[in-house]
Amino acid sequence: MRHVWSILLIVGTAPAQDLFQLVADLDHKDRKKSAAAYRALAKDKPKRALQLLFLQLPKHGFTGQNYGMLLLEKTYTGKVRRKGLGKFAKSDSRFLAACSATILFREGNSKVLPQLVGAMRAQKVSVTERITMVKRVQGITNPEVLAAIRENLTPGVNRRLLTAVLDSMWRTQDSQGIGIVEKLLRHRKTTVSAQGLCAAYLVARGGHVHGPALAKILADAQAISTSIRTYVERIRRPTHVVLDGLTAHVRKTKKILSMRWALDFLRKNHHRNLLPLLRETTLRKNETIARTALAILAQNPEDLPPKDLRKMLASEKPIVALFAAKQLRRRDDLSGFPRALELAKREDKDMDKYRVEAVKVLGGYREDRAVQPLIDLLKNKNASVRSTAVKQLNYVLADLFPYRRFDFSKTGYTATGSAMKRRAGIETIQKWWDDNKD
Amino acid sequence: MDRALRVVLSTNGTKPEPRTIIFLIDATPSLAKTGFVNELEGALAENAKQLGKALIGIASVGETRLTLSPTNDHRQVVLEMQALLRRGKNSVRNIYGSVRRFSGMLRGQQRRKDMVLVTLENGDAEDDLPGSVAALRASRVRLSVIARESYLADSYWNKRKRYLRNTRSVMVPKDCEMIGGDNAFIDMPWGWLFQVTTINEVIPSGFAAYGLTRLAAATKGVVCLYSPPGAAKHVCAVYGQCLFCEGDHIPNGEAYSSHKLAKLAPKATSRKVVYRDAARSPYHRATTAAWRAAAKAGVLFTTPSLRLAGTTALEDRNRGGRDLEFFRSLALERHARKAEDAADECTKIINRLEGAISKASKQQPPDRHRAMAMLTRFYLYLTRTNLISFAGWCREDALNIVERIYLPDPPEIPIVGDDEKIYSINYTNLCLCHGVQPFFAVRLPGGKDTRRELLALHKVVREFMREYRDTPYAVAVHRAGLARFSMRHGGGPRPRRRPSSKAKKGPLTDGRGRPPRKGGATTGGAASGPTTGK
Repeated sequence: MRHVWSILLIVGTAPAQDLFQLVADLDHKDRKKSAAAYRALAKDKPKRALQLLFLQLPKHGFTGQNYGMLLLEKTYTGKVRRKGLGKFAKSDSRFLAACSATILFREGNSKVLPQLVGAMRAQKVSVTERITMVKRVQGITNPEVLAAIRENLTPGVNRRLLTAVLDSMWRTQDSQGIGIVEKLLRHRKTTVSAQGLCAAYLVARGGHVHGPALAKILADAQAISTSIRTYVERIRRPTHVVLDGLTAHVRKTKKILSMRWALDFLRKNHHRNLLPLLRETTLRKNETIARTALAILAQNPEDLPPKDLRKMLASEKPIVALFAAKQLRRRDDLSGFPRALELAKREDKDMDKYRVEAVKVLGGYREDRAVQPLIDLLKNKNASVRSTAVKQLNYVLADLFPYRRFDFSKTGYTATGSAMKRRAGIETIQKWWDDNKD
Repeated sequence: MDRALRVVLSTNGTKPEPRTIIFLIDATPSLAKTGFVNELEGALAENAKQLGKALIGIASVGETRLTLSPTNDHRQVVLEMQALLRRGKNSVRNIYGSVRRFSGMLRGQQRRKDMVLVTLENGDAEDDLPGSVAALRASRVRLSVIARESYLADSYWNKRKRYLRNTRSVMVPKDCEMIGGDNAFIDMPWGWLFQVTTINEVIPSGFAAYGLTRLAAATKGVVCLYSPPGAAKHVCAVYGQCLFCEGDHIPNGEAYSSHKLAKLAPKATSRKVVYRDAARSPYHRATTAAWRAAAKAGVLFTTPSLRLAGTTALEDRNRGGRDLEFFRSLALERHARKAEDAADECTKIINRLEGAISKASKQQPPDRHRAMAMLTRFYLYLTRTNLISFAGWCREDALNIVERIYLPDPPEIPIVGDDEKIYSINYTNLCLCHGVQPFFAVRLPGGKDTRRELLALHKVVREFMREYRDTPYAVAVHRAGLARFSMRHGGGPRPRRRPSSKAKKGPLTDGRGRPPRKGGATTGGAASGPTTGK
């Protein structure tokens, strides 16, 4: 009953009831609602919500407590808040105690260190709470806190917790933890993905002896996780062993994102085997993989001498031939035009999915000889091909006749219009071209 | 940055040597963004053995005291550097004053003295360059520089001299003059007719600003150039338009070759010596003569920055060239005739310049002065092509637009709408990044005359590229452009401004002339109609 009265005293008026609801909503099951409540409180910073937070948070679950602590950390200041946090630091809730003690410790109150370390070392804490606790103390260089963070590195440690601990250790450049991570890497209970993370961390910290272990994990992995990528990217001058591991990964994986990242990384580090690897990848059956490899090949023109491109022009794979034609055109070499034209005109069904690409490549040639084929392509059965053709025709004519202005809609032609209108439009365009081409 | 730091921190031998190294930092946000602190930390760790007997200090440009006195605690150096860069701000700073001040502090020390000047934004505000060189030499300090690439014969500040005098948005430090550019003076003609882009302001030179190079060269230091990631991304036209690609061009001949650059390097000697050498160079004399003649003919808006006198040269102010007044009126026939006259003048200048170049090539090996002369020749050819094309445009397309004679068939539409007003002549540039050859397919005004000029230009560009591919001069040709002329037009008749009165909604007049005044004349007498002012 006393509680009820105190709440009524604080809240008092109608808007305060909204506040009460907002603080209660911080722990709502629906994440969107809890996030909205947090945003509303963080925006308005109502003073009266402070007392409500101190009253309600111990009853909240993890989500509510986490949002509440964020509010107390970032939104509020003053004596009342400090006092409340002090009480929380001594409370039975380990999560609240750790978060409150962290806030106070960061603000210069070193007396809360025992509570902070005690809460960090407590056993009965969920993994999610522990991860959040570790993330909260990131950057604190106190040896006792660092030791408490390191204690989480036990065999069979949760993968997410391991990531949070290693991130924290990276930030403080904690060198005492390196030995523990090494032990964890070798432990039989450690999962392969955790081993990968440990190995990447160790190599990024300069332990190149772990390079072979990392290379093996990378080579065998189906996909490389974001956290491992982060550490691999942090390696100063990666050795050939690690890069070879990534090469093997590219050969094996079917995951596009992982492959793209690995290829990009190899390119940035000028790996000796990158070029053969990319060429090999362009020939893979999976179209998306081949396209990815081609896109990366295009990023470094020096890797593709015109001689090789001309060879690629003859490839049976339309995607490779079109790529070669486009790359040659980018270098002012127009020898790919006949092949691009041939592919754009080819009527067989296999070519259907490449025709739009072929029309785009054809439109890249700002030459008279590209105009007639593009006009012919306006008659194509496929609306996307027609649409691309009219767009490219506009570009080509505008560039060949820089002192004229064009508007193809004036001819009545639209890619999605009726067949009759299109026919009439094409006739008009054809007539104009016949009159003006010479 | 990593490589640059390794170069400036390394010693000649393998044994550690007693040294004092002062990092003179021009703290700016751009430097902080490069990850300089991390790179420094790495470089210090890698060279720890060689730097065993070295003391490292930090000074900040614009401050009077050392930020960190020389110490052998590398950790402290890194932390201080981090704190300094966090405070970094963008402003124009006098680097040379700081060089003098901090080199003076090192005077008298018996150890080997090195100063590493790190500046990515400044170096173009010069106050007393000879004094700075003298101070460094007196203190026996070797100065190395980590800086950004400057532009080829940068004319940016010269063009804005008057603006700098009148503005407060650029606070130039006391006693400083904004100069910039890789050479001691602007040796490349700038301000060509029908060029939107002043190439002197956009072509990376491959060298640091002259002042910085001079300081390093005078003290046997090194200059390391920092290029931010993405800076090498190719753009066909800086302000103009490219007809032949979709922004995906891979140009030929734009990757700078170090051995070619070395041959075309600007002199790092004192200004006096640079001027004297320029005055003695037959190539430079030819360029200067062509520059003056072109300014007189109205195809260049500037005059040379040096006045040649016997075997030496003196600084000269920009007097501006003749204005052909193409952009002030729509007198098309007159413009066409003037353009043809100017083209004839160009031919005369080209002939004189080509004669002088062929004479000079027998006397002197190719150097920067020759490159400038060749570039001037190219620009004269280009301007002549543009003039001929302009004359053709005035007589054909422009006349059609102004008189509204030409009624195009669809898909073509009129360039200027019926209800639009034509104000004046305008132009943009079609860049030459893909060479001249693709333009043969483009319908340009001037017909056969323009085509003939294009052929001549094509020949000149091919010759030029043979000699200067993979140098900034090739880029200078690529960024230049053929002019594409147009009419400044827009809107219909301008709506009359309403007087601020209560009757805002009604029409000003009833369409039949002004309404009669009510209340009569102010000076008395009978009511009258509207006054005409007579």
